[in-house]
Amino acid sequence: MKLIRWKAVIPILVLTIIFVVFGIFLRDRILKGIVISTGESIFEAKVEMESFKTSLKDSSIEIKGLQIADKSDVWKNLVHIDRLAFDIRLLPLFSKKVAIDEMALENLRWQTKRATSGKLPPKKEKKINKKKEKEKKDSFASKLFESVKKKAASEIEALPVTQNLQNIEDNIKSFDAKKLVSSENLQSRQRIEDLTKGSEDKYNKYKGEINSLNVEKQAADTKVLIDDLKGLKVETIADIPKVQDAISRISTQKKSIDATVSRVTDLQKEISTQFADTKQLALEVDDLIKADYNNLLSKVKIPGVGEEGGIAKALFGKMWYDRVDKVLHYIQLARKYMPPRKEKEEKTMYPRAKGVDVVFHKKEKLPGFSIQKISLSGTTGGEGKDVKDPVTVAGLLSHLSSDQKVYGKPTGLDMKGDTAGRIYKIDGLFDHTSDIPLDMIGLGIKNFPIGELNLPQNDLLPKFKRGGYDVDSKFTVRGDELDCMLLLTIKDIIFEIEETSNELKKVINEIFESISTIELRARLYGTDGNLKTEIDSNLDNIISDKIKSIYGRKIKELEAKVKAELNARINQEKEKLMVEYNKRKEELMAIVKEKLGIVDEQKKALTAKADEYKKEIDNRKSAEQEKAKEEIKKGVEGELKKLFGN
Amino acid sequence: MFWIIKIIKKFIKLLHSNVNPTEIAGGFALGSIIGLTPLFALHNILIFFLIIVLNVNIGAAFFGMLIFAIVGACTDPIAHWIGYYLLVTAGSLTPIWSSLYNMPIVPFTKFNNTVMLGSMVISLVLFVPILLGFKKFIIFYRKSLQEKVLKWKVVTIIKSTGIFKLYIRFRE
Repeated sequence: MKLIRWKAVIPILVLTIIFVVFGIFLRDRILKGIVISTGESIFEAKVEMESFKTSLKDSSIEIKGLQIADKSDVWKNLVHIDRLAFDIRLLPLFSKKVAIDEMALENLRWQTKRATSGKLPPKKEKKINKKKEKEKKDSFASKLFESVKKKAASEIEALPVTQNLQNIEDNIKSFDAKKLVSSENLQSRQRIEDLTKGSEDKYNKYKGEINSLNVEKQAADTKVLIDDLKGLKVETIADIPKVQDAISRISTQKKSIDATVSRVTDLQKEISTQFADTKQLALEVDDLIKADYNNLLSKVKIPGVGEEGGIAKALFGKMWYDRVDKVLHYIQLARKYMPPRKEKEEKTMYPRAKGVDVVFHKKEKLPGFSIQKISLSGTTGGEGKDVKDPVTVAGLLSHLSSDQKVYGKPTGLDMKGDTAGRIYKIDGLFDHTSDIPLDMIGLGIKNFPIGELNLPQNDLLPKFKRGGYDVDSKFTVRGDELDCMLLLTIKDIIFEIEETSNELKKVINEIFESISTIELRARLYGTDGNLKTEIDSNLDNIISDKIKSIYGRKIKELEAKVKAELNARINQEKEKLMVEYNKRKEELMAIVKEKLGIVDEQKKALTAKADEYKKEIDNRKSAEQEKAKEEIKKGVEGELKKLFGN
Repeated sequence: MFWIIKIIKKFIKLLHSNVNPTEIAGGFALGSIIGLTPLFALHNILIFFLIIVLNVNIGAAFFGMLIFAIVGACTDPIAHWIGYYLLVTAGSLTPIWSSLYNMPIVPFTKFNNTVMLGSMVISLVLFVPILLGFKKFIIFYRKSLQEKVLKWKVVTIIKSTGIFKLYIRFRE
C-alpha cells in the first residue's frame, strides 16, 4: 500500500501557493474584516472605515475614515478619525503578538453625527451579547458599574422643586381664609361668649339683690310712719312721752334705712368692681385675638423647598451620573483589555464562549498587544456638533499594552488644546504595574460657551441665552475604590426668559433672572455597595431664598386676609360685648343710685321729723322750765311777799 | 443537509467496495481528529493536508468528521475538564505552556483554550483505537454482515423501489 498520494502533492502545493497569493492580494480586505469584527466586539457598535491599506514592504497599515459608533447613542460616533497610520513589527506577529512602536491619529473627533445608525444587526448583537454573557460578570469593574447605575437610579428624582413650587401655588390659590377661621376653635370668641354670659349673670344677680332690698316698701313704710306722726305735737308736757315714742319709732326706721343704705352702698361697690373698666376687658379680648391670629398663622406656612442639595441633584444629577457612567465604562474597558493582576500570577484566565482562555505571562517577552506611542491630533468640533469655534487639540497616548506587568510601564494620556482662550485638556493614567491598579481620567475645560455643555432639559432651568462654563473633573478608580469629582462653574449667565401667563413659570423666571453664576460641586466615592454621593450648588440657597422672598409677599397677603377675616368675625362680637357690658353696668348703677336716692330721702325726712320733735320737746321743756321758773318765782315772790309784805 | 446525505451515501458505497480497509480506517481516524476538535483551528489545516497527501480515503475522512463532530459536541465538557487540568491545575506544566505561548506559530493553534487542548488530547488518544477499531469493523462487515444486510426485509423492500434503483446506480 502506497503511503503518500504523490498525485495530490503537487496540486496541494499549487493550491497552497494560490491560497497564499490570494491571501496576500486580499490581505487588506481580510485584515479589515478582522479589525472591524474585533472593534465591534469591543465597542458593541458599528465600526466603519473608508479604506484599509497595508504595505508588506514596511509592514505598515493605514486606515482612513475610521468611525466607531456610540452604543449609547447610535446616531453619533464615539470617535471619528480621519487617518490612522502605524508600522507593525512583523516578527512578533508570528507569535500572535501585535507590537506597534508608533501610531499617528489625525483629526480625531468625538460625538459627531452619523449618517446611518451605528446599531449592530440583531444577529451580530446577539452573538456578541452571548459571548459577553459567558465572560466574567462578577468582575470588580462590572460590579462597580452596576452599583453606580443603581445609585443613580435611586438618587435622581423628578424635580422636587417644581413640584413644591406647584404645591405652593396650588396652596395659595386654594387658600380660604374664611374656612380656616371658621373651622378654628377661637379662644377670643369663646372668651367673649363667656364674658357675655358672665355679665348677664352678674346683672341678674345684682338686680335681684337690689330688688330684694325692697327699698320702695321701706319708703312706703317711712311715709306711713311720717303720716302717722303728722298730727303729733308737743303742746304739753304730757305730749312729750308720745313724741319721744315717735322719735324712737323714727330712730328704729332710720336704723333700718341705714342698713339698707349700707347694703346698697356695698352693692354699688361690688357692681363697680365686678363690672370692671371695659378697657381692661378689651385688652383681655385683644390678647386672645392675637393668640388666635398666631395660631392661624402657623397653619399658613411655606412648604420646604427640599433637602439641602435637592435642587442641585435634580438639575444636574442625571448629567453627573451619565458622565460617571460613561467614564466608568472606559475604565471598565481598560481593566478588561489591560487586566490588572498580582505580581506572582503566572497565568490569567478569561472565560470564553467555549471553555477558558489561559494567558501565560513571561516577563522577558512582549505582551499580546502593545503600542509604545500614539500621537493624537483632533478638534472639539465635528459633523453635527453645534460648536462655533472648535478647539484644536493634540497630545500623546503612551505605553498602551495588554499586560502592563510584562511591559513594565503604565499607560498615560495627555491631550490639550488652547484656542482663543478656550482650553480643553484631558489627561489619564492607567497604572496596572503594581498590585493595586490605578485608573484616572481627568478633564479640564475653560471658557467654553454654554451651548456646548448639553445640559438635559428640565422644567426648572430656563434655556441659556448666553454664558460660559468651566469644568474641572477627575475620575479615579484605585483598586476597587471609586472617587469621582466634578467642579462645574457656569458664569456670565443670561437666561432666555419667555413671557408667560403661567403663575408658576413667572415665579421661576423671577428666580432665575437674578442668577448670573452657577457653581456645582459633585462627588461620588466609595466601594461597590457602599457608594456615597455629594452634590452641592449655590443654586440651592439662592433659589430657597428667592422662593421665600417671592412667596413671602404672597404669604403676607394671606396673613392679612386671615387677620381681616378674624377681625371681621371677632370685632363685631367684641363691640357687642362692650356695649352690653357698659349698658348693664350703667343700668345697675342707675338703679343703685335711684335706690340710694330714695333711702336718702327717707332718711332725710325721718331725721327732719325727729329733729323737729326733738326741738319741740326741747322747746316745751324750756317753756315748761321757764314756766316753772316763773311759777316758782311767783310762788317765791308770793311767799316772800307774804313773808315780807310788798 | 444534502451534503450530509451525500457523505453517508459515499461511505455506504465504500463499505461495499474493494477499497483497502486501512485506507478507509486511516481517513476515518484523521477525520475524527477534525470532528472532535473545534473546526477553525490551525492543526486542522495540517490534518486536511495529511488527508489529501496521505493515501487515505477522503470520503471516510469526511464521514469520520461528521460522526465525531456529533460526538465532539457531547464531549466538550470533558474536553474542558481535561484542558483545565492540564493548563491550570497541573502547575508543573506551566513553564512548558508559557514557553509554547510565547513561541512563533504555536499560539495560533489556540492550545491555551481549555476546550481546544482537551479535545486535541482526546482526539490524539482516540486516534489509534479508532484507526484499528474501524479497520477491524470494515473487515468484519465485509466478511460477515454484508450478505445478511442485503437480505434484510427493509433492504428487499428498498430494492424493489426506485430508491434501490438509485442505490444500484450509485453502486455502479
